[in-house]
Amino acid sequence: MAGTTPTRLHLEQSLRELHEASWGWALSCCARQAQDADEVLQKSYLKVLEGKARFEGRSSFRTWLFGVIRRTAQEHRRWSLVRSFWSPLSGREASPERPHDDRFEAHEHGALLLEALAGLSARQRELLHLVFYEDLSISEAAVILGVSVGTARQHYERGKANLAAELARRGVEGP
Amino acid sequence: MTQPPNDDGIQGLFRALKQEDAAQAPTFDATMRKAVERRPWWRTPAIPIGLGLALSGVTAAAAVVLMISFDSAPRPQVAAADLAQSTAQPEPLANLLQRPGDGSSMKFGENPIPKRRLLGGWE
Repeated sequence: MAGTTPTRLHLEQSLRELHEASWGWALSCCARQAQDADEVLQKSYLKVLEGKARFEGRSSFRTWLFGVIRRTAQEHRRWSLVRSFWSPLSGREASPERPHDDRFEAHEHGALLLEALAGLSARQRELLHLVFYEDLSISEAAVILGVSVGTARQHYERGKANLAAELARRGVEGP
Repeated sequence: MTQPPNDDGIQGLFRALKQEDAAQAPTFDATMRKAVERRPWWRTPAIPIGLGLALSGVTAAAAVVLMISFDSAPRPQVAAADLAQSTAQPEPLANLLQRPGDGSSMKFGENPIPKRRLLGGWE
């Protein structure tokens, strides 16, 4: 799709193909809050289909889409904070630091990984997610996060070391 | 002492998490449907089209009203004398040329001002 202006049909098809990966990335950007991730994904899809976010072929469609989802999640988090400030009694407050949804705790490995990830910085968490979960290269992850490749590599190495240490502390052994 | 997991071990944990997430993921169609539902009403395609049609309708109606009001406005009354004068036959050119004092028979050194003007009438 790079280099051409995609039609709405092409865009919809591409979004459909990447939907599962986008969902995982939206979850990661929304601190594992499924409801927030769902809303972020809806807003992101609207932005893409209405041309508010325009793909110009400077990177792969997936890299670009993940960037859109990340920015939308940041906007969503800011709005949630504003809403919680104006309506503190509404019952639903933004809690971006809550590490994960309760329903995921039933799964032992996933829960252990999420607990370990919660001990990392947001940037390290995002980078490891993009590399290990989404199978992207460090340079692609750098484009999505808007940092240089060198910075991304540093975060990747430090994050990996920290994650391994956190996992070992929780009893997850290596080979 | 527990040995920390290597890259493959970390990759395996992320894969397991990915499978769990995929099982919980909403379908693409459901996400799209909700996305369209959450779109603000003023951004639905029907609204700009409707506004455009309404605006052009109002403009057309205003133009028709203006045309009718201009058409039925009272016209200026023209005096009958003015009308008769404007529609009268012009005086033949030959008569005008032979009229004394009009400059047509003026000689060198003669006063170009018609005598009728100097004397207050025809000589």
